[in-house]
Amino acid sequence: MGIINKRLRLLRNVTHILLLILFLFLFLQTQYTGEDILEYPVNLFLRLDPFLALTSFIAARAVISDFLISGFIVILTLVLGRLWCGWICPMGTTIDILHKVFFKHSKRLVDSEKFRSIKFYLLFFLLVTSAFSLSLAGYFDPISILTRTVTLSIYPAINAIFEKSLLSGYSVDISWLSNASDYLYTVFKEYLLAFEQPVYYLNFFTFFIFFMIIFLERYEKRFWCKNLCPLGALLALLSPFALIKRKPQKKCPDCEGGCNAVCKLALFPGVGQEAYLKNECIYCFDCMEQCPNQRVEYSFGIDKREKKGVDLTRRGLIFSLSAGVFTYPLLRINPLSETRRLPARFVRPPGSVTEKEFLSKCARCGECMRVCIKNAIQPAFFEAGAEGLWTPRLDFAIGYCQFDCTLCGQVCPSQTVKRLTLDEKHKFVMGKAFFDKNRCIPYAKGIDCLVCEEHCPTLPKKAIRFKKVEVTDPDGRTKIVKQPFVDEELCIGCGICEYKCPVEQKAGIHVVNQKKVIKEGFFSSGGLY
Amino acid sequence: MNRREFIKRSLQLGAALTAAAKLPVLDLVRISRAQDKPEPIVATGKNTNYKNLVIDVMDKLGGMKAFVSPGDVVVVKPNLAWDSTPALGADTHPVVAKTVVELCLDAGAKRVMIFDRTAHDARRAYKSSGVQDAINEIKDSKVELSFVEKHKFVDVKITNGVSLKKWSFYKDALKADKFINVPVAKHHALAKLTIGMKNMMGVIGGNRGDIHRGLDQNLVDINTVVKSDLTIVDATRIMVSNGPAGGSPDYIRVKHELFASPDIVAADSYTAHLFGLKGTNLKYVNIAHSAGMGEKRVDKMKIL
Repeated sequence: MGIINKRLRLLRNVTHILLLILFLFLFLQTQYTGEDILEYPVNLFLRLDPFLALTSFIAARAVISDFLISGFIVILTLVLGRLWCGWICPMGTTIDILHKVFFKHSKRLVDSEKFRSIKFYLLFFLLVTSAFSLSLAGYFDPISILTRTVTLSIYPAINAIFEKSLLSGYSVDISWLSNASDYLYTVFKEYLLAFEQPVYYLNFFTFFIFFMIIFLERYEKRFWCKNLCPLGALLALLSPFALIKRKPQKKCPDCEGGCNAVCKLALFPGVGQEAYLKNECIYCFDCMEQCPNQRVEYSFGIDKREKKGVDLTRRGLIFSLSAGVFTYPLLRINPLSETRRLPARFVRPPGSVTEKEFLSKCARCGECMRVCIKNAIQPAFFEAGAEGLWTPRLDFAIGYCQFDCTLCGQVCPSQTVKRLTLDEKHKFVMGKAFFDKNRCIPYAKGIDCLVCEEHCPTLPKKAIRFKKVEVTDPDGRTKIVKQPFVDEELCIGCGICEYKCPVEQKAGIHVVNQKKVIKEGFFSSGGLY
Repeated sequence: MNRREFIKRSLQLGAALTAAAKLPVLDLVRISRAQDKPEPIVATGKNTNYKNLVIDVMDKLGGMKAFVSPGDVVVVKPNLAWDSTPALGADTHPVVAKTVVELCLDAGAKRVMIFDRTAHDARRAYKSSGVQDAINEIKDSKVELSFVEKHKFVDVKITNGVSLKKWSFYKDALKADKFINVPVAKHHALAKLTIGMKNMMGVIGGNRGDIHRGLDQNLVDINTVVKSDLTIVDATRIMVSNGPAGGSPDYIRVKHELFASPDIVAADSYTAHLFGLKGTNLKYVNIAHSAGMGEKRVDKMKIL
C-alpha cells in the first residue's frame, strides 16, 4: 500500500482547526434563530462521541437512536486508529492551541509515563458505574466538558467583555462616540454576541476544571489526552487492528529519541528499543515532519507487531472495578433516593424523563442550558444529590419556560429531555405553581396586582385566574380585591408567573416540582420516580 | 513603538476615555410635542382589506401628512408584546403596522423606528406576530425595526407625575419628533381593557410588574412623558377574554375595524364600545380626562 504523503500533516492541522471552528459555529447556532426548529445538527460532536454513547446505552439499558451516528467514529477508529484525537476532537485542538500560546517552552515531566494508564482505569471505572445505571461519563467526557465550559463560562465571559467594552463609549456625551459605540455593538451582536447576557450558576467552578486541564499542559503536552481522557482510552482499545503502519517502529539507535520529544503523546517512552505505542497514536504526523533524517514514513497496511498498547496492572483494574461498585451506594443510596423527594423547588425542563432515568442518561453537556431562550435552564449543584451535578433545572428567578418553545428537547443528545411537539409541550407538566399568600400582594396587602394572571399562557384557559373578594386591608379599610388562584389541573409549571412577579427577593408564587393534582378521592401509587 | 510602550499608551488612552465617560449624561427631559389638548376627533372605518382600511381612516384625518412632516424622525409603536400569531390577536396586525410605516415614509419621514419592549421573548414575539417579516418587506433604509436594548433606557423625572415621580424610558421614544401609537384592543383583567394608553408600557424600563399597583394612575403618568401624536387602534380583531396574552382564537372577535385619533384618551374611550363598555368604565380614561389629557365623553367627540 502507498506511503502516506507528508502533506497530510498540513491537512491534519487544517482539518483539526476547521472542525474546531465547526464546533464553535454549531455552538453559536444553538439558539433560537427565528423558527422553533434548529437549522443545524448543533449537538453533532456529542452524538459522534462513542464513549458517551456506550456509557449511556449501558446505563439506560437501551439504545438511544441519536447516538447511533457515533458508530461512524467506531468504524473509523477500527480501520484507521485513534484518528479522532488528532483530527477531530475539538478539545484536542483547544489544548493544542492553548499549549502553543501559553506553554510552548515548558518541559515534559521526567517520569510522566506512569500516568498514561490512568485513563484506562478511569474508563473501566466509568463502565462499571454505568452498569449500575449511574451516568458519570459526562463529568469526564471531553466533548461534554468543552460544551459545558463554553456554554456556562467562556461564552458568557466573552460576551460580557465585548458588551462592556463596546458599550463603554455609549453613555459618553459625545454624539459620534455614542453612535459609533451603539453601531459597533449592533454589528457584533448580529454575528457573535448573545441576545441577552447569559448567566449561569457554577460558571466559575465549571471553568476551573477546564482551567486545570489546560494548566496540566505546563507539565506535559496533551496531558489530558495522554493520561486522563476516557474517550481516548476507549478509542485506544479499538485501535489494535488499525491499518496504518509506521516506519521505523522503534527509536533509531543513532538518535537521542527525537521522536519522543516531538510526539504529542510521547509514544516512544523508555530508553530501550521497544516498539512505539501504536494503539495510542493519534496520527498527527508531527514526527514525520520533524525527523531531522527524514526517516519516518506512514503507510497503509496490516501491522503484525506484538507490543502495541499500554500495560495495565491487575491491581489497577481491581481498584477501578471496586471503586465503581462502591460508588453506586455512595451516590445513589441517600435520603433523596429513599424518600423519593427532590427539593420542592427543583424543577426539570419540559420533556424530562423520570428522575431515576434522568440521572442515568443525562450527559451533563449543557446543551439545553445553552439553547434555553430565557436562560431559565441552569446547572444543578448538589440539589439532586452528588450525581445530579450539572444536570439541568429551571430557575424561575432567572427566566421562565417560553410556552411555544421546544428547543431544549431538540438539542439533548441522550434524549433525557425528550423532543416534544408543540401540542405535547403545551401539556407537559414540569411542576405546579403555588401562591405564597404572605408575599402575594393582593393577599398580603389588599392591593390589586394580577401580573401573574396577565402572563399565564395555558390553554384552553388561564391556570391563574382570580376571584373578587371583599377584604379588610392592613389599614382597616374594606375593599374589593382581585385575588388570584391557581387551577392545578391546568398549570404546567412554566414559571412565567414566578419570573414576572413584582415581589422582590422571593416571589409571591412559586413553582414546585409536584406533578400530580391534589383532589378528593384520587389516589395513585408511586412518588416522583 | 515597542510592546511595553504600546501597553502604556493604551492604558493612558483608556484612562482618558474613562474620565470622559464620567461627563454628565444628556438631559433628556422632553419638550412636549403634541398639543396640550388635542382635538377629540376619532376617525373610524371598517374594511376587510386592512391596508385600505388604514389608508381610508387616515384620509379622514387629512392623511398622514397632517401628523408627520418631511424630515421627521418617527416612532411607530405597535404592540408586539406576545409570542403569538396574528390570528390570536395579542399583537398589532402586521398589515396595519406595515401600512402605518409606509404612510409615514410617504409623508416624508427621515427615519421610522419600530420597537416594543415585549413581555415574552422579543425575538419570538417580533417573529410570531408577523410584524418583523411585514416591516422587512418594505426594504427602505429609513425603516428601522429594532429590539429594545437595555443600555438605551434613561431615567426621566416625571414633572406632572402623581404616583410616578421618576421612571426610566426608552431614549428613542423620548427623542423622536413624532410618536405614533398603534395598539391592539384587548381585554385585560386588571385594567379592564388595554388599548392606547396601556400600550405605552412598551417604552418604559424598570420592573413593569410594579406599575400594576395603582396601574390606572401610573398609566396616566407614563403618558404625560411620552405623548402619542397619533393613536391608531387596531380593532381588526379584538380579544374579549383571557387577555392580554390570549393564546386561542376562541377569545377573538373579528371586527375588521380601525380607529385613529390625535387624542389618545378619546381613542381609548371610543374603542371601549366594542367590548360593550363605556370609556368611563375605564379608570385610567377617567383620570386622564380629569388631568386634561384628552376627551373621554363620546358625545363631545367628532366621530368621522
